[in-house]
Amino acid sequence: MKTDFKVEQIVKLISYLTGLTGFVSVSRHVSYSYSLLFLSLLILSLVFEKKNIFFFPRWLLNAIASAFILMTVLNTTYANLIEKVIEMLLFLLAVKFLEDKKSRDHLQIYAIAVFLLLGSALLSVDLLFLAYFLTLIFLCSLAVIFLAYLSEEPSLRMEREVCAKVVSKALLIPVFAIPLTMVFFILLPRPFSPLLKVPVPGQKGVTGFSEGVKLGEVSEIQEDDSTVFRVNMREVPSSLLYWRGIVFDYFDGRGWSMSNKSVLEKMGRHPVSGEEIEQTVFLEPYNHKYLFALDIPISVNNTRTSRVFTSPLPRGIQKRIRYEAVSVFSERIAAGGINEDIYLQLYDGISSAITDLAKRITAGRSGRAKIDSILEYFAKEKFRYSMEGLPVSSSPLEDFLFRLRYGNCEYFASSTAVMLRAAGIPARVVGGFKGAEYNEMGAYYLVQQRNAHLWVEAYVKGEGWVRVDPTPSTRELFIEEGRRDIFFRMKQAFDVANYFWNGFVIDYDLRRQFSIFLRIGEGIKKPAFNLDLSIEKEKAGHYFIVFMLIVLLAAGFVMLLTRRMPQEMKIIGKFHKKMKRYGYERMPNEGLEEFVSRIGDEDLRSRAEAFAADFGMLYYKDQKFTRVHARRLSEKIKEIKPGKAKLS
Amino acid sequence: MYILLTVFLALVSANSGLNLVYLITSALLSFMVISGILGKANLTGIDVEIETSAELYAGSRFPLRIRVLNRRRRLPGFMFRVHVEEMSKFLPYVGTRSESSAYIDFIFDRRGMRRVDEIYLCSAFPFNFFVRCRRIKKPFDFLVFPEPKNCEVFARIEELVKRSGESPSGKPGFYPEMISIRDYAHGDPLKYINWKATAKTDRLKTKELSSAFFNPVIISFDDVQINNHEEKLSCLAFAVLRLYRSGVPFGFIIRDKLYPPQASNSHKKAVLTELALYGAHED
Repeated sequence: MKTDFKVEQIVKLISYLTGLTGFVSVSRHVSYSYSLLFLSLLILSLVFEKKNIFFFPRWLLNAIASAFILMTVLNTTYANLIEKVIEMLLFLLAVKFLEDKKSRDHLQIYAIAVFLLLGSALLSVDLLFLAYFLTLIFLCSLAVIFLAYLSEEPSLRMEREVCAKVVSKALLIPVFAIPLTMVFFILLPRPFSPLLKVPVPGQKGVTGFSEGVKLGEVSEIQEDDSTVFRVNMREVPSSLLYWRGIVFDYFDGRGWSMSNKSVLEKMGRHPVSGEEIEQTVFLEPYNHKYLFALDIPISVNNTRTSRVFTSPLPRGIQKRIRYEAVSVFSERIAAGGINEDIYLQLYDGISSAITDLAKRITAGRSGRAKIDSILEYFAKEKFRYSMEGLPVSSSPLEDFLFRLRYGNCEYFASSTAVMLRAAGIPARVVGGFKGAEYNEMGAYYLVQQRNAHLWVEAYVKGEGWVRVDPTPSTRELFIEEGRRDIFFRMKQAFDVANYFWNGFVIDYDLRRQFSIFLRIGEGIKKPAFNLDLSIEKEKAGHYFIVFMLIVLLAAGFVMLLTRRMPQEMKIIGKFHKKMKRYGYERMPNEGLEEFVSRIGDEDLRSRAEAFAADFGMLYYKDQKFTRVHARRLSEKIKEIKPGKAKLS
Repeated sequence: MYILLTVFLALVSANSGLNLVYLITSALLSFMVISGILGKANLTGIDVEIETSAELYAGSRFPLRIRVLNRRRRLPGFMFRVHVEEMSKFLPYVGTRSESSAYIDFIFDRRGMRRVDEIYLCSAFPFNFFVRCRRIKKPFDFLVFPEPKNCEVFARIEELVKRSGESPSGKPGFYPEMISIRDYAHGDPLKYINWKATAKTDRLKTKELSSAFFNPVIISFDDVQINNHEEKLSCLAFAVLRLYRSGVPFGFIIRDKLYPPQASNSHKKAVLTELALYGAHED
């Protein structure tokens, strides 16, 4: 007996899966109590489904849902708008499941699931969205097809075989819809500036360098693995990886800030010289306004950097931005003259022990030698790098220099800068990042919070500002070891996916839309007859993705074609091929039996006849061709061999 | 609802500039396009035939078979609704290079050669966003016999038959004993349809039960005194049917045309056709 399914049950099953996907997409952003409430109501509705008793009348559920919406609206503020809307949608979804569902209710479930996905898109922009998006696309297309069946015939039952065919064809729809979605995504007009500012509570941004930094703060950042920015550029020696962000010139004994007096400084005519390197930076939202680039950045988006070679924006960065930077590999910045008062400032209440120490270790030396003497002091006195138990008292530098003798870059850099100042050498502290993981697949550097770093710039007469990094390096070792790790490679591959996701989808805007249209326009005007095969490395990733997409689509299409070839046609094709090998070709319009009868070799003919008889039984009597038949016939084809006389 | 959702999301994406919302909007739009393309493709290469093995009588319902033939090699047919005049039937799936059929309870109000040319093949495939329809430009003609009406004429014939005597026979009638299975004929009660045999042969089959045997009678059309022609045709059709079913051999005379007495099905059909087409050439 043929198994059949009630289409209504299929629709219900897909509706539950769709609702669940919607829930999972936002589950990270809702409280446990809501998740628990949703799941409990979902289980309750499954019990109702099983017993086919829907305990709550529709009017009661509608009243509860309305009351809940009202309550949520009253508790909603601008800041928690999206979270509240999501909670409301989750509740509505759970209520929908409790109802005795009609076609309209199923559609509402799908709509709520799409809205939940939308909510997740507002709360997080990571790659997981893509997974939920694709799952929902496949589920919804299945659901809507079966729902269409249901609305045509509410009591429809479908044989398992028909059901499988409908499912297999329905799943092809999203496969075709995805490339079209990409086209629409590229073409849909982007606004000059969004009119609607959606409050995004989840996207808090990462903590980082603001206008000032308190000692101990950077260590908090350093324990964080989240991405700060990615830089698309060629790989360079890791010793050159200093990412400059902010320059601090004022120290109050506990932390560094900017006095903003440096803007009056004169710059040298050619402040930096050396090899230039271009970078494309994708900076994650981090709430602060400084842009980062390799030390020493000379321009960002074709605009010269400030006098202290930083690029502040007017406001904090709230969404991912992309910019082009040009830097020069140079360890010194020539300066036309500086205001020494700013850079020799010492904080009130500085311990004489520090100034005495500075003077003592730099005594009798000048310029660069003074700097070296401080660095030698740290080495000689076995100061070590640590991120734990950092001195955060009212006199942290004293604690670091005389009591604990360990700390992180904040302590090394701060005490170096203070000691340099005490020894009469103008000094400032630069905030940024040091080192990064180079992702070869994506041709970019990944800079994480844990790369946060402070270093010193000291002013040496006749040379200018010289980079001084007193912090002992320990981190690179860890990274080198990590490179051998399979998980590290997997993490890198995932990051590449994230990088392209951000590059192609999240950061797509009017500017890129214009550039694509312009490129297409140029392509139409000047067709490129001579194909340039020298693809730049950074573009290789893009080409790779496009190539893979084409391959996937082609593979899908081939699979589709081969699957659609009836099994009997494949079998007869095999038979023809085999017979051709023995010199017998079946003419067009020649009957199978007729063909077999004209085979000269007796053994060959009798075996071919056995095949033809079996095939004819199945094919001409309109029997269902099953795998068992196919296997049996294939074996018969294998058995077809000419007699010994022919072989010899 | 879908269009509203798409418009709403399009507005949200255009105003917020959020790319993930654009992505959802794009997906909804592409599904709309795919739905249009597939909907159109689903109706091409599909043929519809209507047929019946039943004898058709005006005013009586009969099972009309709708066959949907998929001539396509690759794409199966989904979700078809075939409209035949006012009636419709749903066929969920038609495999590639195969056909699927269903029956509808159809009726012709008037006798004669009736033409059915209002056939539409519709489908809401894939998402029920739009229902596309295609008219099947192929007329189907059906011969419809007059509506059988029991009137005085038959009572008189019956009396005549009774007077001439009866004897038991193996001829079909409505006694409980089943003697064979034959093709469905108009007027066979539904309860006598043998569904098992119908399913096996794909033609409607009726159980034949035992009846009795009678002596022949001849009906002369002009001698039947009923002024209303349609009424007369209906009464005669009833008589012909009852005589045939009772196994009474009957002859028929109309305008110098004689149908010698017979009790066969083809004879019955010939007489009924004569009645069905009566006056057709004069129109």
